Amino acid sequence: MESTAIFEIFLSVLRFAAPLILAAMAGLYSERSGIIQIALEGFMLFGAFVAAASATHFGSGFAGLFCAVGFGIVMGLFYGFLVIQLKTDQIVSGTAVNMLAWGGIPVVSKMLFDVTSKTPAIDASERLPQWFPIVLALAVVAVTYFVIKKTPFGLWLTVAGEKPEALLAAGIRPSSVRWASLMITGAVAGLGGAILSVCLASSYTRNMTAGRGFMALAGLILGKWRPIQACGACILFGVCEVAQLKLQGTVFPLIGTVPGQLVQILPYVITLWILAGVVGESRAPSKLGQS
Amino acid sequence: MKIHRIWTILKPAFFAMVSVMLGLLVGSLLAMLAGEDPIKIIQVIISGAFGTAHDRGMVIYFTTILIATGLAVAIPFQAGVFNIGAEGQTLIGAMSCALLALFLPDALPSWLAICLCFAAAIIAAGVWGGIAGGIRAFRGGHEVIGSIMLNFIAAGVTGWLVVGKFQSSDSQNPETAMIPENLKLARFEMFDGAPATLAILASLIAAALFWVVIEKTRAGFRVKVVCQSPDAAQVAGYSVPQVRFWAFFAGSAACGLAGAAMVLGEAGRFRMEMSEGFGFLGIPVALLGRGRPVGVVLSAFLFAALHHGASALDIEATKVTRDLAQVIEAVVVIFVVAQVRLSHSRGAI
Amino acid sequence: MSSSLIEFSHVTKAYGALLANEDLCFRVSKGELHAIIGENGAGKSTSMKLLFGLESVTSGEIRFKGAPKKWNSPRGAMDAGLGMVHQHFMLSPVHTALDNVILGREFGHSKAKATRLLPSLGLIDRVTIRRDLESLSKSAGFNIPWDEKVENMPVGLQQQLEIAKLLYAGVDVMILDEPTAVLSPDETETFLQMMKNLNQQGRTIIIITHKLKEVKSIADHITVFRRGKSVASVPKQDVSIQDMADLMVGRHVNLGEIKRSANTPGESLLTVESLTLGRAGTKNKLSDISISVKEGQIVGLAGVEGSGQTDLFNTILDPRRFSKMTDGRQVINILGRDGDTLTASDIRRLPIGVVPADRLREAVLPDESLLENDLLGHDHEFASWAVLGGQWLDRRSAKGRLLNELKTFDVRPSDPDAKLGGFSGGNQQKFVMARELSRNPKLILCAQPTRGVDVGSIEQIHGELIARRDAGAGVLLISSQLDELMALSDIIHVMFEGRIVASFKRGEFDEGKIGVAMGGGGR
Repeated sequence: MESTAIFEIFLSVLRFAAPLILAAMAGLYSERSGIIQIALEGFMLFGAFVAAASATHFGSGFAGLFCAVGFGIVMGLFYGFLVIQLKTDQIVSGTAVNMLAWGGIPVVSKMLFDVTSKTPAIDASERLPQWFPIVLALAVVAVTYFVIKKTPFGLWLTVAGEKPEALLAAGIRPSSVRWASLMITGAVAGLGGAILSVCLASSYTRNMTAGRGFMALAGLILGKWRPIQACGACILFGVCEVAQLKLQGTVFPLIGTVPGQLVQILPYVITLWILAGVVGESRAPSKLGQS
Repeated sequence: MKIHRIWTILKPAFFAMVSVMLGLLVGSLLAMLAGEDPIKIIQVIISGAFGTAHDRGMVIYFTTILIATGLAVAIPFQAGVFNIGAEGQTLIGAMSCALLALFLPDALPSWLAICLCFAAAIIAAGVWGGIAGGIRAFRGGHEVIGSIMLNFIAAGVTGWLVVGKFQSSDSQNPETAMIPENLKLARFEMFDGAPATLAILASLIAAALFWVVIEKTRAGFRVKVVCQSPDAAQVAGYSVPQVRFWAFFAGSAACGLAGAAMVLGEAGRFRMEMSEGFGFLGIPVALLGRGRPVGVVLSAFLFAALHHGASALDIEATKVTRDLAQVIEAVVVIFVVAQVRLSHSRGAI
Repeated sequence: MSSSLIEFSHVTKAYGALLANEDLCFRVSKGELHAIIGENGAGKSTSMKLLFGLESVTSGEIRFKGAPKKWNSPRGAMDAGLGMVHQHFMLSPVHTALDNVILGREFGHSKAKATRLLPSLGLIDRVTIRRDLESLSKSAGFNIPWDEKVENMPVGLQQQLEIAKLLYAGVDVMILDEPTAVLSPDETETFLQMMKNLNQQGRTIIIITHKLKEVKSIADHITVFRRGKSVASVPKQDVSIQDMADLMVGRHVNLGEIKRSANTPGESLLTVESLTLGRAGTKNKLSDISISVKEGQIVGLAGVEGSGQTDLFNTILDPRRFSKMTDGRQVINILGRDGDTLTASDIRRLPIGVVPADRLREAVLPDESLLENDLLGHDHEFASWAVLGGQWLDRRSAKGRLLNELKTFDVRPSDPDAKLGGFSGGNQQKFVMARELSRNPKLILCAQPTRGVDVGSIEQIHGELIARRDAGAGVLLISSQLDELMALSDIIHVMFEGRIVASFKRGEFDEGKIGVAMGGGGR
């Protein structure tokens, strides 16, 4: 009895963390190659909507995931067009992509389904199982770790973010590497959004990412831009979230109630702390935002 | 020579107009796609913004707020730092303003109490943003990440204060009790009850002050040098971290005006998440206004009109909603940013 | 004659009106160790960029193995068997030595790919590559720690790593741009020996340098550049060091003969006593520096770039900022004031003229008008409105002053509203000198005053510095041009690795001895 309850809690932590982990991995590809990624929120939101809409259209949860990935790649290319081709400011362009998602999705949703708030529910039989996102997220972490550590592309990616001149001198164009990594970012972030609507819920609801893209960015920084650590940071966020829910109304001896909101912001406080260099040293890719 | 000079002044305005036109074009194309008459959509937005006295008052109220959050982005940008945390700074400013208003002794004259509330909002917002600014200036941590984190923390902290500590007993919503009547800003009568108040003057004064400091003072000159070349600033004896910090502080402080305008001018209390995205909207406002004071005021007005006008779409149009405004804003941002290739290390937006 | 591997024939490279290379002709034979020597800005690096495909030729032809070269990108040059070590290393500091070598050659030698498991799966086989590199290391005499991050490696090892990259890529022709500029004498020694070995193994090596002794000791053939042209290309045994120096400098610009009054130095304006700068656990940037600049004296600081001159310059401008990094013993005294009590802005209020080394980055705002640039570092002089704490900036009076300034120093055009970035290098520098010297400073801190400046302006700037000295000002002069230092200075201190390793009084200047000290040798 006791052990199943703990297992339940463990699962709910991972369920909350899974989309964050995917988004953090998505951000990792972009940021390690030197491009600041604050558009994760927008990418995820697009992914969630596209997945839910296409899942109902095709009557298949997997079709939803595929469409979300495809649309994510398109958005990655769009962002790449802005920041690599036109060399626009990465932060402003990222904000623009987010605004596009915040405003554009309700407009399209209204067109397709006549409501802005949510998409029609996906058939229960077509929903993907609850364990699926967890396995998917952990698999993506493993693959990312492997790509960074073992493949030529991983090496190019990290050099592009640290010393693009060295990459160029070795005969590889940093911009090509960045294009590729932005496509991956779009795809994986789209996937992260998709599992929100297709796996963890039964439809897209308005603004359902609720800041998870930014949270993932925090996880990435907390994890020092490394796959395993970033995954750990996202799980920590999950722990805080679940703790916040469980603690509601619980009265502890001596302390009284622990306010959930304050537990929830704990990860951000830690991230801020690390950013200030007070504890540990977090070192960003040195060309981040300068390409 | 003369014509050339005039053109350099007018060029940004011209490009801004073109961007807005393109944004409206994309917006109406989208509306057409949805099956609406694009001309009608534009008409609805315009009449929604200026149709009645109340509408005009609302536009003034939103302009008040957007000037403030626009300045919050534009001022730090003069020193080459990016403030994306106006959302949280506004919340903190509003919260401080409301709490002070609730606990000030009644004996104080209203004008003094209102001034104190404004001051509290401005200082609290400045200090809050100053955390991110300080981390950037003195410790080298990225200010964008810092201010995003502070947005979340601000939402959490104010949420906790409202729900956990100062929840109004006679309200179901997460909000504080009403502030005393004598602290509410008087609404201009001509606007039919819309929350257009003297707070607009505060925002305009802030913009004017910004202009004076940048154009006419030594501090403004130093800010410009730090933005264009931190190395040159150092050789010239200017402290780069200090300039960056204070620019960030000043920008954040402007959010206090927005928070105070919301609490004293509109809601009369602090409401959870009352910043409602106006902080983020400061980014396109500053961008379209090229970070210049006059530009910020004009584009704040434009975005305020768009924001309020679009809300009429919910009622007057069947196939599109007010969300269309945000698409238009996003498109405007993309066109502006593509034109100006702004870069943190060089010059104005 | 047809045995020449690389041949430049009448090559010209123009950047706008500026000719970086003009009618360049020389050959490099196969298996040769070929040195290209010349002063800064003689066009040595440009010629190699042309060869390597980083830049394209304006006119003329570069031939490789008898035929016009086909490539116009670094990749193409590498495929043809050429490799280049740039003056600024192309290494990623946070990656390991191994990864830096692998970069772009992830599957090792192309032949091996199919037979090994990991590469055939598209993965990097670091174990095997490492083994290959270790055997390569042994034959070349490297001692590179392959798993160490580059940022933790001393410069000498980084240099070896750059060469290892070329060997691993299997190049036949190695081009090295100023390879010893950043090396200590010991490292230089090792490096030169290594070059000899590689050369004996059959590789063609081209070294760009301005250190004549090294050239004499290792090169087979020497080409001398002067102002973008090749003025001689001869076997080593045909020239002496003296000949090379004469060829490099050519027609002598009479820098050494500026008239100076025979004054005796007066009171001390700037003293630095046993200044040490460094964080715990890292190498000191400056060690035990003591100098003083007196009235009527020009004190020169010589040294290879990165020997600590810039750190000293910056520390003098803001001693307080660096005080955390010092061990507390140092004393900087500026115009009778204790440096530790002064902020950077206090220091700029003293009668000091500051001319930093990197003009466009440190001395001016290229996108701003002359007027704005004239305020840089001097805004306090135009403060008005005491009510606002003197924050008001009076641009009108600044403009009046600027017009006078421009006239006196002959800066053209003399339009206060013109953008500074549009001016020639010479006029920009004259403007900086005008800004800093028209205030009649007692102390002048001056770094690389004639970098990127035309000959006419050089003479004017030198004349101005001497005139200030004669009038009783003290000058601290940092320059990478030894002849400039020798022409202007009363004393030359030579810096090496953050120390002053030798000092010479005027009259005892000896180019050879100073050069040796700059390399860290001799005391």
